[in-house]
Amino acid sequence: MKKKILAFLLLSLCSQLIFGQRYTISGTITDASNGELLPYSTIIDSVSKKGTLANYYGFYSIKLDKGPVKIMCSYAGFNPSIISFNLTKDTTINLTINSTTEIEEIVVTSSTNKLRSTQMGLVEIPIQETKQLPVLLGEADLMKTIQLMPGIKGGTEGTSGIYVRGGGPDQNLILLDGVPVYNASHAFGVFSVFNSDAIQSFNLMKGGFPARYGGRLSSVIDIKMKEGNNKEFHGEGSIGIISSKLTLEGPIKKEQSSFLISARRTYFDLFTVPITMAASDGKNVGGYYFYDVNAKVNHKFSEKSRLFLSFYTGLDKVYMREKSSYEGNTRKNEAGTGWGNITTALRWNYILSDNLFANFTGTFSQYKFFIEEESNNSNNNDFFSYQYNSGIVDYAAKIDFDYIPHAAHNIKFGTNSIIHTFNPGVNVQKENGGNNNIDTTFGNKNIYATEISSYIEDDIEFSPKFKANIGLHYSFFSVRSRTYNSFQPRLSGRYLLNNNIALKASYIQMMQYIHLLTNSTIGLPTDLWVPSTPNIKPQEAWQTALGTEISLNKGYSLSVEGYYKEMKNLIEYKEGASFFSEKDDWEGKVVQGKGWSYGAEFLLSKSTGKITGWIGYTLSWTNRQFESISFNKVFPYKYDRRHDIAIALTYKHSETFDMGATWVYGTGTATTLATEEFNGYDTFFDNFNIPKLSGAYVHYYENKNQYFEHRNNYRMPAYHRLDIGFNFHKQKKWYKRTWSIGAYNAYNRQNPFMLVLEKDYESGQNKLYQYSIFQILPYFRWSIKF
Amino acid sequence: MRTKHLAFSILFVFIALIIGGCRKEIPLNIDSKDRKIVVNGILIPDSAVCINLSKSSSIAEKDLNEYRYIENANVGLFENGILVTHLTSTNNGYYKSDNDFRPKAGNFYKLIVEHEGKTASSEFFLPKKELNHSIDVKKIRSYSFEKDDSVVYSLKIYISINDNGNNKNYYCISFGYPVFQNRYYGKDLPISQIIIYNSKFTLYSPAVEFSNFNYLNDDEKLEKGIYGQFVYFSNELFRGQKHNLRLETNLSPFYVKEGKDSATFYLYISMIDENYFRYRKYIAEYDNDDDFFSEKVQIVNNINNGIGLFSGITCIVDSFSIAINEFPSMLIQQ
Repeated sequence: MKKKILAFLLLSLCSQLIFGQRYTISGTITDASNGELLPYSTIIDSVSKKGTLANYYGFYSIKLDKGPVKIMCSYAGFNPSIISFNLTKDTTINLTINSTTEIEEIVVTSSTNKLRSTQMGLVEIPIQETKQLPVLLGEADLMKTIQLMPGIKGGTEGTSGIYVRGGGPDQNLILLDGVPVYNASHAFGVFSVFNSDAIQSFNLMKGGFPARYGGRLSSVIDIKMKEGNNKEFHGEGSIGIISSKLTLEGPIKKEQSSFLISARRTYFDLFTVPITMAASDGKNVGGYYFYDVNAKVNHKFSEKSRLFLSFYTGLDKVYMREKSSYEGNTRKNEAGTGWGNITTALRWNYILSDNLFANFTGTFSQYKFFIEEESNNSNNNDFFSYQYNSGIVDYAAKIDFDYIPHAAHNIKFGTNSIIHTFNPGVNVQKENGGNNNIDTTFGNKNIYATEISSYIEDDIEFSPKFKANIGLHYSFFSVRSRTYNSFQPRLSGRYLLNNNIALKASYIQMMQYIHLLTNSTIGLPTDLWVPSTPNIKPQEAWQTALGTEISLNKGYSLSVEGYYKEMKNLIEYKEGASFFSEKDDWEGKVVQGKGWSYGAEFLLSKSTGKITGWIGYTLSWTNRQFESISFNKVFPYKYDRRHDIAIALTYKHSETFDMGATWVYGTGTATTLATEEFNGYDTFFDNFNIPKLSGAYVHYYENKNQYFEHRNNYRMPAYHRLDIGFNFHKQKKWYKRTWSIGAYNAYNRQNPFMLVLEKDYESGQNKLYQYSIFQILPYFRWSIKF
Repeated sequence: MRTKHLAFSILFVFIALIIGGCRKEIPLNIDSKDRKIVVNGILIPDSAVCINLSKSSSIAEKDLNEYRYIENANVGLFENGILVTHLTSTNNGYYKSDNDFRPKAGNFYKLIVEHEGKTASSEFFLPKKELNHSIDVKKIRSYSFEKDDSVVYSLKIYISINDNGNNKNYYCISFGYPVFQNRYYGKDLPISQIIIYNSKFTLYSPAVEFSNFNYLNDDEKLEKGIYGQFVYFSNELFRGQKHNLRLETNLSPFYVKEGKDSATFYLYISMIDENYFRYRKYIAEYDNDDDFFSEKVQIVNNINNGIGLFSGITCIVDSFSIAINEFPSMLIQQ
């Protein structure tokens, strides 16, 4: 069988080489307005009907027959660019395309991409569209927007953790300029850490992963920061109910180097500080804030060589300060907790030849959670401080190559090495005064691990109708003298029935060496990233999918995908365990088991005209099975959601007014709730004190215990919500001003966040109470762009 | 670690503030009519059979505090597949053998309960009494130290267990001695703790459990006042091997009858059924499930078409004496 496949590949290659004289057209694709490189643009020769995709860094290369060509370049959210000429030699053409925001009608051409690509389960939403859709408290959020796509579920209300095709929140590889981001949320998940003003593009893959991606089981979210306008200075900023932000970008040296800096900060604490002070006669102060900063510089040494340096930092902080006085003795206490990421990437792109592209990247990523407390006494110099730190630090280097030897082949290969340092929790305590003089450090030791991966993939066009992406991903993980490795085949194929209908299929295997230790109750910043160890095995998954892409008239397209996914060595807290339980270290608190998910996803989208948007529907089942949870019974995953519907629409009435609306519906979240009580007896054995047991009686000490069939046995009420927003634009002399007003949860649905059984002592009856977070939340935001 | 909790409470308060304002009662969608038969039954070799039957209550019912005993069920006990006795109701859901049947170690037992058209059943293997292992109280030593002007005495007990190599053996060790209970000390009776040394078995937390033995009647009150402590473990890590462990316990004041010069201490080594082992383990987790964020604990259930536990325990008892002059301040004579 292997010989037959090899022979077929060689035959295919030879046949392409024999026929006709061919030349290479290569170059880069950039945004005409700011000179930024555009990833994954589509290039099609409408004469030969051949096409290719630019790579992540905007480089493309296509081999075409000698003669007339008509090259069309398109990119989601941009107006296509067309160029015709007679191809007589290898040619370099750097294409530029215009953003659709500069023309009257929105034209989105992503459907062409999806139809021709072998990639399945791909979600692409133009960043402009995320800004038009209504959002929580007016804060545009791409992580919230992608939750509106089928197969991608949000967590409980307000959280930005995502669950893709039955996977857990740790199974998503979230990359910001190629650097993994370990905690993608601010404010306990209410907002994501990605400031939309600093983002150029993003896409999400929920299946059919090409071999170049690895390390997570369920999805890849690839987010690219803006590079900075290298033509002219621009800026944008906004003031909202809870936060303000400002972005500046411009050339350092025109058309050669540029910068971008974007910052955002909330001001919850402006409200909480006066409230807490008033409530404590000025003695106590408490508050919360978060901020983040994105920065990037790039320099073009030549048409072939570019250097990029990008940086992100963000922090959430909850704090409390207390001052008390007694008989002239003043005591000050400060306590707080915080968490945040820092990521840095240094990237060098080099076009080695018209068909070979290289990318070298060095990255740093850190996530840190901390708790701190400090107190001192003015009179006797008593001092106490306590700190708890946990987190993860990564240093990584990778090399990627794109090699296009032939019109029918697009080969990618490369290697990646990561040095992980996991800190599962260290405590530092210092105490001075009285009889105590303590300076101690205790807790879990750091765990060091090395992860290395290599890949090769080829996007092969066997015929104009049949194309496949065949790849192999190899990974190696070393921790505590134990090594794991795996070969993961990746296969996806597309068959064009005609110009408007494509059938697709894929099969992938994935391996994940790091785990997020999280409670099923609620995702918290305390959730720990931990490695596979000699005791904790890596997570594994395989997934197969079958689907179709149909391009309909008038800009409509329909996508249908069915999938089946199996996962093993998933990690969960044992029954009775939590982050706070101190009776065991983290390895002793967890168990491993398996899970599986299957379902069908339907997406009807409209990408042209004044009204654009989509309707998504997911029908799915997701289960888990752990030997020591619910006595090995199969139980539904917390986010097993049978029906999930999302409708997202934007309407652009004119240059001065547009609006957006989203409506979501989801089957209730599964939760664990006692359904019965029973007499559980504590036994003891009378006459045990008599050495001869003859005649002993068993006595029972009555005790009431609660019973539930299995974990996640009960369903919360269904979730549904309407958000609506309006944007009013006006072009002023120096800037464009936008007023945005809208409402989150417009019809004031009280959606469940959690359920709690509480005993009513008057009636003696248990009652079920639903706690909700967000009811109707109006918002407004004033923005400018210059 | 207390400060860690303190600091984290800030987070918790923050969350509570967010969600606190939106709370409403919603219907509890539970079928409150279809209740399950609840069985609680532990068999001991050569001992009278006594089980308890009741009905579960829907969590939504009003009178949850009531015990819904089953008094009119047909209950049959089978030994190795043969019906050996019917159990008849006494009161408060207790059922006892109508022919004074005594179970034997090393047999399979099955219980079938029929009530109001429903049938619940369960079976288990009562561990053999041969107990292919040995107990050796090698050394008893006492020491004392000053703490808050009071003297605390400890015992160290060395035990060797020869595991018989079965795939899964489960053990329970209990240590008891006569304590002088409520009469003089009220509810502030000091609690002893067993600390386990040199242990390589899986220790379920809390591995040490406490339970007070009740009195049968006033006359026997003091002698029956045994302060019991139980440790449960499996042979998971020492299958087929000799395993040494040491128990250490701080002593509570104990009772010695007037005129006697020593007190008797009891050590119980039991082989227990897997179901009972798991039940104890989960009960311990369940009782300690007081953390809001912790995963809910499900109590072991080995009753088909019902809830509860039907299991057994095979025990041997060893004893040793402590001369009263070794623990003068702990002695209370009457």
